[in-house]
Amino acid sequence: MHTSRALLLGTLAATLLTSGCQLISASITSPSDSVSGTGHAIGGSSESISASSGGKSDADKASYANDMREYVASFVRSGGATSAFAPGATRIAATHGISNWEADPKTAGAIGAGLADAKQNEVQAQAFCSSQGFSSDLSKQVVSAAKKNAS
Amino acid sequence: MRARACALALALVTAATPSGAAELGFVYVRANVGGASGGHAALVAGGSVFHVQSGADGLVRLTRDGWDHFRYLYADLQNRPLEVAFVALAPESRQRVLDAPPRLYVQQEIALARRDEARDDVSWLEAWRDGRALPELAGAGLLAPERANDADAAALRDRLGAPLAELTRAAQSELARASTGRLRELREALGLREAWLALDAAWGLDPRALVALPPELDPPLDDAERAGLEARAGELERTLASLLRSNRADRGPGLLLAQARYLAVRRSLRENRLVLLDPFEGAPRMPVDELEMSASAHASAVAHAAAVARRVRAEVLAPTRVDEPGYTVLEEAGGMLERVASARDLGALFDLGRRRLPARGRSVEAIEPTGDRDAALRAAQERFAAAERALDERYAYDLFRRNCITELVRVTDEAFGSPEGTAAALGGRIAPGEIFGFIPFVFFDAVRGRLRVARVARVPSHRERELARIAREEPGLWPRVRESTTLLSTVYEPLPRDGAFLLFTDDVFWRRPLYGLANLAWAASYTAYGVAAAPFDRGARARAGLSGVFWSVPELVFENVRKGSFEWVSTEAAPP
Repeated sequence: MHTSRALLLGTLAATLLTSGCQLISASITSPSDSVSGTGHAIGGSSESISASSGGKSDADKASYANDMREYVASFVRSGGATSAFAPGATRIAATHGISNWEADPKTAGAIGAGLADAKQNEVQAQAFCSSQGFSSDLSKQVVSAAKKNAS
Repeated sequence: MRARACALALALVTAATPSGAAELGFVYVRANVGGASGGHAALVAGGSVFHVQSGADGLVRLTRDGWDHFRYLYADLQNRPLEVAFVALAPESRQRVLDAPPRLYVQQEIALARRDEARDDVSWLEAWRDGRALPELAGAGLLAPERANDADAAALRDRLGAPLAELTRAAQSELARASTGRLRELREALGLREAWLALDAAWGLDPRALVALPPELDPPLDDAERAGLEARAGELERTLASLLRSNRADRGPGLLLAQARYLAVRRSLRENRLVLLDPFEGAPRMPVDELEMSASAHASAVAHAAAVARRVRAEVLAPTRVDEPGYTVLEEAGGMLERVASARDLGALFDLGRRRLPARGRSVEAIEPTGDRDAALRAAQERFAAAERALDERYAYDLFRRNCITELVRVTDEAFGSPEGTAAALGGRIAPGEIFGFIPFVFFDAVRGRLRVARVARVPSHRERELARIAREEPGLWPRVRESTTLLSTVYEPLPRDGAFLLFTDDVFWRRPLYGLANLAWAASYTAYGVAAAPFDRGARARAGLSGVFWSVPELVFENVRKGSFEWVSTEAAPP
């Protein structure tokens, strides 16, 4: 099925190694004809900002919590150094526009859920909070969320 | 009309499903000249799009976009029709697929953070070795030491009542204990020291850290906005108090940002105009030399950006709303509007799929820590090389084995733990690594042929929508002839990046080889002209001609890739 088309486009694609699914990204360090149009910058950023201003969609609300949950679970499973946790969490939170992640209302639940995903029991969750120097309020909320997600 | 089309497109993607069922959309983005010339693919659910792209650093990156943004970039600006195959599945199966992209994203962020830390270590050690200024410290450039004793900053310091001298001494002690083997901790201590100094000495805002809007785009604050800013100032004071109590060693940049934001809010209230930090200042950017759009298109773009900024301002400055992500978006809207209006530094605006906090840096003084610098540098270089290798092994782009399609297949497949689990959940399976499976249309054929597809929706490209409008408004042969050629089209303006071509071939089939032949002849002639003009345009026309020749070849055998693209497409997403 479609083998001739596949061969044709496969050959074309192979010839154009630089035209893969290129990233429309600020991380690009060299010019790329394919994405350098100023319309991409203007129109793309307008649309992105316009869509994000409300921050009301379920996806927006869940996105930060999902990422933080995954980060915590990955961090604990990989046995990362205690001092490396906060910088990683800060990095993840920053991509959601959050600088003071300890105070964000979604953080405690996300950390607790991540600890539960990493099979941490109540004692281990408490130990994690202590090792990170969380405030007693944040620690309580995290442990509570870990228990809730474990059950 | 356009608003209706967009609403329809969104409805197609977010449509409700029969009770108890859920849908997952597989998006096929058709081919066009430029990035993803063979096409592209994505997953869509609940208004969010997940897709994998590759950057010039050679790594694939998972991107999460809103549907509107994705559609605008691909269907409007890149002028590619989209097809979405909706697979019916159980809600829990859909959730398993949607849980997979954050996992991939976070794992990649952890690997990137490891690489970045090693790279920073190398940069700092090299700076000490060479006697150069130290690399910039994130956030330190938001405030200016030479603007000490700022009245608002002094009042803030007095209200917070923190033992700043003591905290500064503690940070200095931490710095004294630093060694070449613990450079992250050193940078964190430096960040804290700068934050305590800034609070203690009441540093004011650095003007270079602010957005500069033209007066006509910077209306006075109204009463509701003033109330919203007062609420924001209170929230920022609470943030600072919370960070003062925190034990996080890396909270220096957060403190600097909160102080700078507080001062920006206070100045806004004093001057009765919005003063914002610029989140793009000092951030990485893509090189963009000049504005590639007509004056009228630019005016439309400015009007649109201003409308977006107005709407964001009204939403975010509501007195009851004090969430930080919303305020970050407001800063982005200000930074965007400044750049769009001035048509400068547009390269900073690419990729706003993720938020960006203001973090203007500044090089600060720091005594070199104790330890064997050369040995530490060698170790840091080895860590950096190892981190780069690890990233390459896991995320390096490979046209055949790791591209936007293969990673999407992998993400979907791995979500269910086993081939049987995947087949049960989706009604079939597309295995990673299948022959020709890296080609977008082959992948989409497999989706339609093997998975439990409930329906397929099509989102037309911008030109297709415009042609439909013209057909309604101007029936007859001449408009069709006019719009079929790049020379006369009222919809399309030739762009060098599309290559030189004469006739559109995406909306014809039997005539395609004939049109392709005409395009080939046109592009060959254009190449010859370009060669003659090369001394004046540095070969730009010659390159466009050669590109035109290349992309005419598939048309000779009935295949269309080239569709033209647009620098600006008016949008009605924002209110007038």
